[in-house]
Amino acid sequence: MNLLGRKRPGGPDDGTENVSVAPPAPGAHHGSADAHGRPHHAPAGDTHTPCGDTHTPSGDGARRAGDERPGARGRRPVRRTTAFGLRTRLVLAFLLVAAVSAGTTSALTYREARNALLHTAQDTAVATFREHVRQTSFALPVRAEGTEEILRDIARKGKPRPWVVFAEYGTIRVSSGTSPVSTVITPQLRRAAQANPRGSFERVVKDGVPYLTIAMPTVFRTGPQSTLPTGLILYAVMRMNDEQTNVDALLTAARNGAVPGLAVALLPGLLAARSVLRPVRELRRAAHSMGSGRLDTRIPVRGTDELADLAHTFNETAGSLEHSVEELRRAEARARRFASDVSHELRTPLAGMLAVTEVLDEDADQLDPDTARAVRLISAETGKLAVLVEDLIEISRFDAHAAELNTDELDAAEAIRKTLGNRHWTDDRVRAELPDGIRVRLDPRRFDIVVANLVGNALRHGAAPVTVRLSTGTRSDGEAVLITEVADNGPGIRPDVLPHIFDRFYKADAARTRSAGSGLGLAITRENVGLHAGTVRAGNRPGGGAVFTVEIPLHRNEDGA
Amino acid sequence: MSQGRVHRRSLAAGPVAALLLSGCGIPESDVIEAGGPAHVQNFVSEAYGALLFFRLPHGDLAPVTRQLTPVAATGEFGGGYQEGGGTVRPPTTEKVISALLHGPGPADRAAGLDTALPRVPDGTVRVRFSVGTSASASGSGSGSGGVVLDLPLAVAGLDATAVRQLICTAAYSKDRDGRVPVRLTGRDGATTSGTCDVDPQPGNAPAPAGTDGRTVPGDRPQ
Repeated sequence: MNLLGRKRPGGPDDGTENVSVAPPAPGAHHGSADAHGRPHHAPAGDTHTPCGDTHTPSGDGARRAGDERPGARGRRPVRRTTAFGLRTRLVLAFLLVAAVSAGTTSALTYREARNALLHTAQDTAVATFREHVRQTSFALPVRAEGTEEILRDIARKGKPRPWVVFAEYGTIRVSSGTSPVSTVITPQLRRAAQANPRGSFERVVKDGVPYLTIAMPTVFRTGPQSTLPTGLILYAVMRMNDEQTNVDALLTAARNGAVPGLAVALLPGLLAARSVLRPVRELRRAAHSMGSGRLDTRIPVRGTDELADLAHTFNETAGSLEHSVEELRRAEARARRFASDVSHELRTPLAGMLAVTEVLDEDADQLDPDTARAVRLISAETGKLAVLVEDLIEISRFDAHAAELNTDELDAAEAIRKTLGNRHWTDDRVRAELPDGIRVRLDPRRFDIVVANLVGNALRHGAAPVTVRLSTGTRSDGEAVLITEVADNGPGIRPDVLPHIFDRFYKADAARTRSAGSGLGLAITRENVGLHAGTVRAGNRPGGGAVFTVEIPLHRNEDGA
Repeated sequence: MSQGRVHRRSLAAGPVAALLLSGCGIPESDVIEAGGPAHVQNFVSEAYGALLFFRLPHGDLAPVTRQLTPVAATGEFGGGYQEGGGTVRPPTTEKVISALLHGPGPADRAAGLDTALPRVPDGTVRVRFSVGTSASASGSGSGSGGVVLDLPLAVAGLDATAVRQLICTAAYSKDRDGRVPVRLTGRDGATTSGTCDVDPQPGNAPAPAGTDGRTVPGDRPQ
């Protein structure tokens, strides 16, 4: 039922949505839905409505109804999620994993490689320095003069590159460089070398330049088993430029490895997102398409994953839904055809009966009073039955979407005056406020029915005087409309009745099973107004009395006609 | 939700960034020990060189070679080494200790070397060997014997460095490995004894701490 109901807003005449009586009305709901939905399906084909739904901006009528449609409502959250959607999240997750792994790997690799590089450089330097110092000889006490030559000699042989060699002995400070005392060597290294005659080194960063400082205390052999420290400590200071370069290169390599890694990770991220998103998108499109009435929508099932399961379930559900909706439609069509057939079958005998009762009516005066009353009763009831059958046939036409709109450009005031004149409502029971000169395009016959029904209804259920007021206005969607108001001075409509007042055979008073009308007048009014893409509202005036407001577009679009 | 995600992401990125930032470039290091010292050649020969121990500015002892043979009495090592050629005998312990008591020479002083001993230019030093009668010429075989020095000064007033100077100088004059125990006896009758502890190699020398223990102050006469 819902699906049928949902179809209604898709049509260009969804203005009827504004009918205040529309929402609950279980009995009348599907009837009215059909009445409004079908006429537009019939001429434009079944694809018209879904197209209007999926391509919102294209159709004028669809745009008008855009805010009200369930389809549009369902779509909004989808748009909202795209800002931080599944794709973004998946890609971000992939990038994060890639960044963490690449970052960690390159950081660890970098550290290991750097440490290995530094170790090699340091070990080489220390070993080389020791080796070169070993090949020198010093007299004890060490003298300043001559020592410089030896130091220069060692410095020249420095590996991996030349270094500056400093010698410290007592108060003697000699170096192979320009300054006899190094500013790089730390007191800690000096202390360690003096306290413990073992080679040691320290990396020092001074002014951003890394240095390797090596302290090499010297010993000499005094006897076969004994060595003595000479007290002379040689220091080598080496700039670690190359190591710095290599380490920088390592860092660059690590970075250069990590960044393309991230870029590469983007690809599986996008692929994974795509593999998830495509079925999801298809599912959404299919659900949307189903929501707009295409129950034969199916999703191609790919693979065997959870999404394929979902697609499979969706297809099954859609299948059973389509089946039951088809059943319902058929049952409804049968019921409608039955009502239509019954009405038509009744019309022929009724016509005969009407002819007979008219003759009987004329002769009633010559009959005895009892018989005359019975004859008049039969005549009146037959007349009512004829009206009821005519109304039923009219409604059947709407249900069968056979109602046609034969529009004509006319003066609205003129049309209403004609309607009131034909019904002999020219006395002071009906007041008309009809400004001339409002040209409107509508079906004169149907407009006549609308006005006549409303005024008749007001006279019957409300109280005179009934006011018919004509004006123009603009609907909330910007459409210029003709506003026809029919107000009475009765007690008004009870609020609990208000939503059902346009329903078929709805009785405001359950006890009053018989009324002067057929019970279809307002329903037919609404169908007629709906055919004009207009709306009809029922309400109560503040001062009391019911008021019915009909809004019909002044100039209908031809495509909707 | 998104707040939580961001939080989690920053948590994960934190250590990575820290790891990357902390490890860039060449960091400073502590003083790291790397192998033994460098063995250098020295012009000391057991035949004609003597090792005297003087004090370095920072307090440690440093050995210097001194030429005490008749051939090159100047103390300059060059000529004496070249011409000596093993024809001369090594200087006696008495001579070596006398030289030590004379104090550092000009070259020693130029290098900032110093002595903790009082200068005794003309006292006589007597040397006795406590155990055995090992030949004075051969240092290698005399490890078991001790050296007893009778010094022309008051031993009680000497500080630890002075005592070490005497012990080491005496020990290395007797034994090229410097393992000989030395007993000092002063003019004041105070005695102290010990072995030289400047050998850096732990396997070859008695524990450095032991020396202090064995250095008996002079106020304990024996």
